[in-house]
Amino acid sequence: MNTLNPQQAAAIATGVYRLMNRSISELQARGGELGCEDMFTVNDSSRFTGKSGGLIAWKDITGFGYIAAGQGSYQGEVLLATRGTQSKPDWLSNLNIGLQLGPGGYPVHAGFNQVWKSFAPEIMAFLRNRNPATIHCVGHSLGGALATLGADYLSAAQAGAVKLYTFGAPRTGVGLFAESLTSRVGAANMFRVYHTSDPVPMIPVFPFQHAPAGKRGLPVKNGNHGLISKDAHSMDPSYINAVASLSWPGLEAASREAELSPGKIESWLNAAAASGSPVMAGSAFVLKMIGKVINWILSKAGALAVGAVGLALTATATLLDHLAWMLHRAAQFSKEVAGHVENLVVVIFKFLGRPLVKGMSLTLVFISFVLDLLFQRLRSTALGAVALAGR
Amino acid sequence: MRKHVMLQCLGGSLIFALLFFTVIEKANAMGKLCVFSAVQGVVLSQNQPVAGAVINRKFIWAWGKETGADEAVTDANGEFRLPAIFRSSLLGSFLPHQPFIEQTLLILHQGKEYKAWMFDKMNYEENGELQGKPISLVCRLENEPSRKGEIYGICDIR
Repeated sequence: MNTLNPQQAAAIATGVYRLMNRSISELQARGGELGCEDMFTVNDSSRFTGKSGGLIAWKDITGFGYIAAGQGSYQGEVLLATRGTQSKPDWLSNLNIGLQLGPGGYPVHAGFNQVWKSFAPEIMAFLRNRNPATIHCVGHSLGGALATLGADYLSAAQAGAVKLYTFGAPRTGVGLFAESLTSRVGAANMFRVYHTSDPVPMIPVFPFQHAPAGKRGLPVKNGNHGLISKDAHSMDPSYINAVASLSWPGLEAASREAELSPGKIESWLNAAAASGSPVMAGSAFVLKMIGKVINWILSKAGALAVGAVGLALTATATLLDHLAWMLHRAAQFSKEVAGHVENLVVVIFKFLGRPLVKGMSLTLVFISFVLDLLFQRLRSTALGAVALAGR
Repeated sequence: MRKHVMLQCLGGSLIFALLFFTVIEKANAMGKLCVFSAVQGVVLSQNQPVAGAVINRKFIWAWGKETGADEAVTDANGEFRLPAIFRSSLLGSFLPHQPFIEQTLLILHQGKEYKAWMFDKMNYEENGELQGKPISLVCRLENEPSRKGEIYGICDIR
């Protein structure tokens, strides 16, 4: 059973974009390649189209990928490659964040599932009367979500052993979906690569979860702790360059190195909050660490906070209110946790580039104020950016 | 266990919201999207400059759903220039997507058509076709189209 290496998977995830508006023979007439030519046989019948767009209007039918049979040492194997977001209708599909039952019977992102359903019959038709040993599912971005749904369908149908390779993929289904898929495909056969500055793998939020369940994925980065950037999301050059010289074990090792133990998070927080310690305002790394610190503090305080949320807050309370309330409760948990929340507040002020309020007291109002400051600042920057870009 | 997962997700939700706004912040720096960088070149036949050849340039921009075309004519030295083509898109500036522009340069001379440059540009950077290097071509009409990296056509990069 073959496993595509990171460079092969990345080349395939890139090449499939070339089929959005042209056939394979048209691509070949332009000297173009899909990145799978040495391993899988492609012709015009390999390409399939799919439908993306809004719920009612602005739909688009375009090439969404191809399915091909293996050749040479890949004889008896199949490749399913799906492209990611390339157009505005694709984004409308991304924004359709409802839940539908996916191919394996568990709740998944409605927009992704609608696109999948639009071409699923072609996948089924290709596999009829075939008995592949292995099916490789590859995709980037929305294509990664579609590859994940493909893996869900193919593993549920027991069409063959499935291997899943995704780059910068968003969360495709809820926790049950991720757990079920992982149990059928096996975490060792799922290669989820994500760039630490890429915003797409961070969406959609709860209750969606990444597959493989319980595994961190394979983070890659540009090494500068730069701001979160949509440029980090591009397959070419971002992901292509990021995996250019790495093997899967190499990516796994880098992932383990990047894993932050609670001890490391605490050390970082103490160091960043220390007087005179420089914290770069607006840094994606600091923002990421603020998130980890919040998670760490809340998990340290245990379930006490969530347990009583419903009693303490009205239904109209915002996510911000909930977080403020939980941090406030966590601070009451013990002196030690209160110290961590204080340090968190210090780091948020540093991130904002604002002077620290003297004699702060961790009241609910104050914590809400700090979180609100963070949002206000980012929101006003965002609005300014939108206005400027619209000129 | 489930409560812990929920806590993690709520913390993650906050961070996502923060990150989303940060992404939009980047839109400040992304007013212009380059769909075809400036091209200059020379057309030769048997090492002699070809005057009066028409350089036909086309692009298809997936995000903008736009097809565009322009052209230039070679001078007495066989040389031609085409300016960079930019587009702007508010949504395209901040919504993450894979840029994709099909680029084509054809040379029309004495009733024949030559494939000069066929390339899929997958970024919006000016001179992003050649990793920052300006496009400067030597196109020999007697050449057979071939691949040079991801670029296909009769022209060589100088």
